[in-house]
Amino acid sequence: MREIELRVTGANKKIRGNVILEDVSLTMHSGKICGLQGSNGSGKTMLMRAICGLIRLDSGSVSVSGKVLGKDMAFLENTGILIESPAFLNGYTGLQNLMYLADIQKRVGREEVRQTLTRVGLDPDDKRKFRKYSLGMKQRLGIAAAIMEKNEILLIDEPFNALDVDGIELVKNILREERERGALIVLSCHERQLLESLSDEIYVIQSGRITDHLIPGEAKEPE
Amino acid sequence: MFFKLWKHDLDYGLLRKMIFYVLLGFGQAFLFCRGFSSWAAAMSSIPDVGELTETFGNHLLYLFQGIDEYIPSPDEPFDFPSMWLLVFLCGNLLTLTYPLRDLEGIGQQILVRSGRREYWWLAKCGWEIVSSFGYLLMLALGVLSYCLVFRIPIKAEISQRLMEVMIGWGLDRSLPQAEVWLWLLVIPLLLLIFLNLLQLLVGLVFGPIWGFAVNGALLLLSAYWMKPFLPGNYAMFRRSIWVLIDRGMVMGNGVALLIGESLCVIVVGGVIFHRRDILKKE
Repeated sequence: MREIELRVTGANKKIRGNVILEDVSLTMHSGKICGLQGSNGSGKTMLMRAICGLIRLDSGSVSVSGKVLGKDMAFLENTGILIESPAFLNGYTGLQNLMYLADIQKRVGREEVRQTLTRVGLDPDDKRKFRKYSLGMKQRLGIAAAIMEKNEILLIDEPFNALDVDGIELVKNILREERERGALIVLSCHERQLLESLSDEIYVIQSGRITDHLIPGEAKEPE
Repeated sequence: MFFKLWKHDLDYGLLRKMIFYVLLGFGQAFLFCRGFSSWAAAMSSIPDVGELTETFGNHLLYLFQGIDEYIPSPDEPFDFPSMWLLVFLCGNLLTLTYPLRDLEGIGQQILVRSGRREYWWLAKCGWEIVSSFGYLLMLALGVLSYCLVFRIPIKAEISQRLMEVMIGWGLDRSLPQAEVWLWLLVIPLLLLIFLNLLQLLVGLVFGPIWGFAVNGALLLLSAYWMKPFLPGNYAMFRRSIWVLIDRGMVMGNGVALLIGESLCVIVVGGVIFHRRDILKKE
């Protein structure tokens, strides 16, 4: 997989007069997990939406290896997303939902999709429609959708919601495997410990601003 | 890419919901046609009127008769064209929520994968057009079924005598059957397509309920005010050039207006959607 750099520079965004992002800058590289840590409403999800192109920045830029979002591309290319709660078609099974998504770019076939479902702990032959899924199953399907096409970039927002202990470990292993594959992973979570166990670096975000940048495992200088 | 998304929208947003189209189309057809038949039977019993023969063509035209031109006066309260309004608003109701639910749900995955916002927008516009056709087809099939059940002649011929009695005065010349049928097939469809596209645009900016409300207001305004720039006027037979010979609505003008307005909505909507923030429902 090629080396890429994802750069957010001076991102600002207001919605209905409320500051959502304020002068946010960060840089991320392939083969790394970059954590975004912050409480509910801190701006993590909005930053993810801005990075992938779902919302437009008022000022600032997002670029991937020199290609600028909004100029050279409408959405981040080669990107798998799981932003907020996973949303699929209620009348389709898990496999049908993923096949519908896979059919858009046709980069993976039925067999790879089935393997991805198994990888996240779902049964590819499960005939239940999405509306019958538990919250944990929905979350797993969301993760499957993000990883099935082996994208260069993964934007994963709160993937551990609604998962049991085994599910959390499963997802952590998947993210580590994706990092080993060379993917650039942006991972948001409100729990510092979970992030520290996975991330190569962590940006702390509060009220739309980056307030800290940490490297897990590095001791902080005494004040 | 557009055809892929459009095909999916037709499958998931129309074919899987066809039962609602059938229920609304057939339900309205039977309700209104029954009313028309009862009225025709009552009128036939009046000696001066005589026998009135209903046909499939008459029943279909009855749905889109609308109301006479309204001239405000203290003695003449405005008469709501309830049936005409209901026919079009039901067509709007069927397409009210699907686009926004898609955009707030799996549509975001679609957008990122498709790489361009325009594909989503155009696919939804295409879906609105086919949905409009689907609903009116169900309405027509409902009328056809009613005629079969009640043994009304399945004739395309529109009985002039019946239309004259319905409208309340004589038509100075024969109804040009082919032209009226062309009007019947084209104008209500074009109006519904425009209304659904407008609802889509307004719904994306302000919410689906506002889209529906704007359409309701536009239809009411058209009914109240007979002006060539109000599109609803072209879809009322009572206001057509065949009834109001000196000042009625000309079909060609209606076609041009409705197609032009629809294209404007598609273009303006595309521009707005290009800049729109795509968020989950707050």
